Amino acid sequence: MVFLEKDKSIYKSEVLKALKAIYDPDLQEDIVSLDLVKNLTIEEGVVTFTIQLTNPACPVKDQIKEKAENAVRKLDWVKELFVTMGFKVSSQQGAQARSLIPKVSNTIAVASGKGGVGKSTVAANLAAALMNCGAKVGLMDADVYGPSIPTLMGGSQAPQVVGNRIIPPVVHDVKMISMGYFLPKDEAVIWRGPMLHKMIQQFLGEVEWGSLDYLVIDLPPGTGDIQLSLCQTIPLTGAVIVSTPQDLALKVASKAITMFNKLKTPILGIVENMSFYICSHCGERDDIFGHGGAQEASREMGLPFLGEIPLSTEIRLRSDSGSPTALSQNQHGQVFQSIASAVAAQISIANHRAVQVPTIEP
Amino acid sequence: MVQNNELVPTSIKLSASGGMAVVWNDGHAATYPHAYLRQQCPCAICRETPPEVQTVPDPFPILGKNLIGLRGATPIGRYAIQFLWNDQHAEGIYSYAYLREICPCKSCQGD
Repeated sequence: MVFLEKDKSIYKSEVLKALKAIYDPDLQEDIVSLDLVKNLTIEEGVVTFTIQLTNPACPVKDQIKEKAENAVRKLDWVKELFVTMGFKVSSQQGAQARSLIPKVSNTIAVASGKGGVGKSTVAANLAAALMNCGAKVGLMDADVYGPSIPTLMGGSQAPQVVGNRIIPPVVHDVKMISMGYFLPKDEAVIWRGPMLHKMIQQFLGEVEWGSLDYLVIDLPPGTGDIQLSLCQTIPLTGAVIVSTPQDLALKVASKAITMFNKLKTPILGIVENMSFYICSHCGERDDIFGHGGAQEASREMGLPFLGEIPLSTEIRLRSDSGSPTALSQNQHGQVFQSIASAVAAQISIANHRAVQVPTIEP
Repeated sequence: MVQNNELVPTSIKLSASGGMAVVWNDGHAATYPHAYLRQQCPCAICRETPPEVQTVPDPFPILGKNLIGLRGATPIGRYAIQFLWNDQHAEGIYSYAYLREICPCKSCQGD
């Protein structure tokens, strides 16, 4: 092979032209227009670049890599090719978020209409699954009435206070804060609105979250002060709604959806928890709470369906012992991983499409 | 997702003398005079007792009230703005929907 002394930029533009055929699966645009091709170097026919997706949990990452390699190899002057896959989450911070949580790229509220649908389990496992894909994750337990996040995640470290900053404990590589850390075990939080509002502001602005790709926020059930305070204090990236399959749970969950719509918070999608049960003795499946109701409703409402989680003794045991199921290698772990992928994809889409929070200028 | 179909300001500019200039994502644009904005405060206190807003400078400033003035504004989540007035009143949270509803321009007021 004889190399013509072409201008280097011609080689680069040929590579980029080839990569224009590769599409981001969530954003429906090619990776060159989206500026996802980074660190492209070409030296004597050796081509190196990184594809930096916005979704750390992209399920078709390997296929994208393969397609990119095949496309570039078609160029006859390419001797060797090194493609790495990376990620950098997108972010649409507004002024309030920039002042309270300047290095947190995305905030995800996990909500439900009624209690007892497994919202905290979903929040904890979502955080763990995103961490598992290499993202930097924080988990805020804003459910002051039943702060179960410390139990679900395990760990016994308490937050440290340094100066006027709260240093969150790190469990399973996730930074965490919860009222559960500050209250004696038998105490209840019996607070009115202004105290709850203050708590939200402190949990956001006074905790040393540092750089995070995602901050997952476990809300109390329903549509109360804490939900409103959160949506007023920062422009949330989006909300994940957890519901059981039953119609009843969904009718109540619709109220939470209506609330987020009023507050212009994007709904990232619906998760159906307690979707079905597989008997641990005979292996037969039983749809104890019905099945598919949440998926049906999400179709009707035009909202993404993020996945279904079965009733499982294993999930319950791991929750009770502070060992998130998302981190296990089995099919239950897979369920949470795929929900995390779907959430990350919806965040990429929301950031790509959503109307910017307007800045106020003098 | 619904938000792309909803009316949201794309630009908000405050000026001491000119009022608040808003451009919306449907291209609509208008300027809200300070006094008008304050009179439309949706907080519970103001709805109960609308504020007396002086719009013309008092020729005897020693005895008269100060002109109402906007000191600042902050976004509230993704859906509203909160204003701080020079009489320290800051209770009103004006949702974008409400702001559009009270748009003072001729074509909005005409209907």
